[in-house]
Amino acid sequence: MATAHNEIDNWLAADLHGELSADERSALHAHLVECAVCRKTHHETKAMNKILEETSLRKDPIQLSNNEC
Amino acid sequence: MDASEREQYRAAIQGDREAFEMIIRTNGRALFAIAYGILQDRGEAEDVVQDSLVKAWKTRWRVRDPEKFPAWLATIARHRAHDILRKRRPFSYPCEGIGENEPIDTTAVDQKLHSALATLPELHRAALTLRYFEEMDYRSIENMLGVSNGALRGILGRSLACLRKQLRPALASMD
Repeated sequence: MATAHNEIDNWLAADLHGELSADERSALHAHLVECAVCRKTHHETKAMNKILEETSLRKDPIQLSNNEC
Repeated sequence: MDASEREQYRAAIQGDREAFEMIIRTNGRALFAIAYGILQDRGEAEDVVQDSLVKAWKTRWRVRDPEKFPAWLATIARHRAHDILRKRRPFSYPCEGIGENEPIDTTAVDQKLHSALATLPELHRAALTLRYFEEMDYRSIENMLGVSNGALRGILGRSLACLRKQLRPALASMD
């Protein structure tokens, strides 16, 4: 059975994308309270998500490929 | 897919040009995103979309289940893009750090992100592009790429994990 800790990358991505069920979200955030390793991963994944969101707002993928600013 | 969408795909399969044009408008950007995820070239990706739509119109009768039409379209585009890619360059995707000691600024982050995206498998790049640049929800991406919810979660989870490992210095600077 999938758990937040064993599949932390998938759960964090789905959480940031608003795709976790209410039960899954509760389980994830309860786990983050007690697991420092997953909290660090959560912190980094949120930052990565922010970079992708900001990049997608500033540019389309074509511009990104051209390394234009 | 709701009943009206299913009917639209069914009509297109049966040769209704208006229905097919609506499908082009609905799926065009997503097909471009998939092709672009593979080729990283706008002109080639546009060619892939055009070629794919022509092929889809000519062979639409092969699709028995209208609900499978978006995934079938995506498969045509992926195959066509790979045909072009094979003629152009080899493919590899090492998931290692890139330039970790370089100074961080917006330009550098963009360049690292571009380099990191290029290391991902094409299905992963397509999923990321559809999520972040097309802002599609998981259900729509699943339909387009023909993958299950569990598979998509794994793809996006692993992709974000790979990117954050490669961009770790940039992430640290965001504290």
